[in-house]
Amino acid sequence: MPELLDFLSEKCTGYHSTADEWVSSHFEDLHNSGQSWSADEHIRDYDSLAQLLRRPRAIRILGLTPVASRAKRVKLIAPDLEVRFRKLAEQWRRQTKFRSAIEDKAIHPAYQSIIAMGPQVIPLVLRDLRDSRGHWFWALHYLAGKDMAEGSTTIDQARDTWLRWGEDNGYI
Amino acid sequence: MAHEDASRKEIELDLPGLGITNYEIVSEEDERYNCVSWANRDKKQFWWPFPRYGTYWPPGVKRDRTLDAFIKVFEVQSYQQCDTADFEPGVDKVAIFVRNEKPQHVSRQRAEDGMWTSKLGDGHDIDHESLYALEGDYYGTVAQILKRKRRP
Repeated sequence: MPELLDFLSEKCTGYHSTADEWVSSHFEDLHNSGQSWSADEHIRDYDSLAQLLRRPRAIRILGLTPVASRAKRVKLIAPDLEVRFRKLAEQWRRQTKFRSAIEDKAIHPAYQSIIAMGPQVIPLVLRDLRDSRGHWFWALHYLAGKDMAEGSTTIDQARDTWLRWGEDNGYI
Repeated sequence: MAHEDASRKEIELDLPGLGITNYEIVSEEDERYNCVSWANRDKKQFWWPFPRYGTYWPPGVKRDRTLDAFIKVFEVQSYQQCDTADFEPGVDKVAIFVRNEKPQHVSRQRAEDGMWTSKLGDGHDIDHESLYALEGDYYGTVAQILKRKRRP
């Protein structure tokens, strides 16, 4: 269901309250029938869509990756987005590993492509920062619209500050 | 061993001069410090003039990515500019690599045995016999050498 996933990754990152029936009547039937999905045709109510994205059943059906937070909100990541991110991150790491200049790392085309993916990629960047480390602070600054690590004097300090922010805001 | 072979292959892809000289990987990869940190024997801070994202730059030195600013980093620590990378027992030396007029890398020569040592960006620390093995498209060329008497 590539069209749906594209739509979800572009429009939706979470929240709302009741939508179990909506999941059953629309997504499961549609999925089981093997029909193709058109966002414009099937989704007229974006609030309902956002609502259903909190439901484990919808998450399972759509194959999305839920990211639970301390704040009990859920943000969702489309699998194709994650694949693309992983590929770009690996390319960036490989091609800038031996550079000391932060600015050289940040202007690498793969890094810039990750920034161009927009705020929806924040959970993936934060997870990578948590699990594999790396100089993601420039990207996070631009994606989040603020530099949470301002004033940090070590890489560990900057990393800890961003990870704490990510947890507090439901990204990881 | 397989892991080290893979690391060497990766290093020599970007720094082919190392492949034809003797060098040894002497640490794990670590993004928390870089070549300038390592040249200053500091593994706790990431020395770079860019003024954000957890970097450190010594007080009193302009946060500019220029050869002059990099020279100043060492001069404030009693290094003096010199012309040769030749080993002088009891003397520490550092070499600043520049490409497109921008500093790219710093190596340090150990006062005790004349071996050069470098931190390769976020990668490994290496000990290398030849300073000039690092010259090339990646780091450019050695633009300045500085020295000071070994401190106890």
